[in-house]
Amino acid sequence: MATQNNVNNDCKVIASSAVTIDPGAAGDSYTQFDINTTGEFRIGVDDTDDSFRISQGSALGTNDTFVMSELGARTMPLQPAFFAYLGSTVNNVTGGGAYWRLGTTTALTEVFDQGGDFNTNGTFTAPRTGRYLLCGAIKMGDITAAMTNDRIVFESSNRNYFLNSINGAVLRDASNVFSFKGEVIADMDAADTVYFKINMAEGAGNTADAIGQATHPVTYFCGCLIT
Amino acid sequence: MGTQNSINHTSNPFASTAFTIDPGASGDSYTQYSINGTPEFRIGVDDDAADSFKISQGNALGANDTFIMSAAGERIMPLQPAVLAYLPSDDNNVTGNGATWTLGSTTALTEIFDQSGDFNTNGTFTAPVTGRYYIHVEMRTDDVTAAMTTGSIQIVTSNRTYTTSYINPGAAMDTALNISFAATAIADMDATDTATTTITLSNGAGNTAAVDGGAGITTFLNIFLLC
Repeated sequence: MATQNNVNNDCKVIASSAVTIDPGAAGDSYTQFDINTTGEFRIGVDDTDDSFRISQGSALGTNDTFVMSELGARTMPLQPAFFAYLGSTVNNVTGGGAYWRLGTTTALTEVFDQGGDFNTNGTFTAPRTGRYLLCGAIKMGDITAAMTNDRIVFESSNRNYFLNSINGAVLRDASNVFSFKGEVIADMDAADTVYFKINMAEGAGNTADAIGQATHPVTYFCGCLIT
Repeated sequence: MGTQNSINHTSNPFASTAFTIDPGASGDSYTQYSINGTPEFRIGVDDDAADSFKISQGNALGANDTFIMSAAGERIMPLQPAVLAYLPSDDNNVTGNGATWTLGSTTALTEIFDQSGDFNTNGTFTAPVTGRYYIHVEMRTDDVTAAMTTGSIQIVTSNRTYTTSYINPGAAMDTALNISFAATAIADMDATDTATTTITLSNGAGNTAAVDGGAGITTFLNIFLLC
């Protein structure tokens, strides 16, 4: 590691508790972190809205990774996060014991996919090791009186989470519909994958439908890297 | 506080790998980001707060803290939009025969916290910035009858409505005629968009079902800005 210098490379120690950065006119106020002349990260205040930003590269307002508004609302525009839903109904996916994965048969519709880690075939691939909030719902139709043993599963590389185990035959509504839902904070390693599945069993066949809707989500899968 | 040393970022970048800020005695160690003489954000270590690292709006660590990382690595954001509100008493005769009822529309909700003041006790949350918001609602219905054979719960945002918990409440209710509905989504919201939550039970003889409230929380709403 190169020699560390206090404040400047002339090794002049500034006997101060603080450094103030001010362009002295309109404009951004920032600190630039470079390595061998390559701009890596810039932190500081963006004069466009006086927000505090941590931005990859050498400009505030481009590739912002962390934005703190003047009021203290923090967003992370590049944080891995996704929301996708089923835009149309897929018939005959389970009921007789089949495990059906959301996104197979019909590609999902993405509302957002920050980080580009989600595939519309229903696969989310963790870009890095961390704890991920996963949640979702599946609206099922054509549930019969025989489909008495049902559940959803978040199937991740590290482990499977079996949630919302119920007797769909009893809980289905007057239209033979029931919504499964669940959420978990999951440990995922970099390159791990997770799928969202449903399994309904004991029916005469896999005749239950996964209901999709074009505009307002009823069957969906979402997640976010939270820590 | 020691003498502040101003840096004009337009002049003479430091050809150095690092600089150290140290008051040389007790006291905060920080960098102040100002624009044309107006202090916008201060980042650094707060000597009065167990040496935590802070990003604070304005010109003081310890006031308007937007981000606090403790020396042990625990991160909090005291001004991040986040809400927990609950129904403090029962609202009777709100649904059962197709009526859609909005949480907070009859009895004002009780706030446990509303970190950025974006929530109205009539049940409406207004997004202060564009981002991805975690929304979770839970409502416990009461006085459910066997005839109420269809039910669902909705998160209604400006961009879209998320409907889940489709169930036959008349079959699924417990012996006290209760059944809880819940919904969760990571929702895309733009600045000034709103979110409310509703519930609909149908096919009953009338809108005679209640939503339970009380200090022992049974019906509540959680929202926070995730990223």
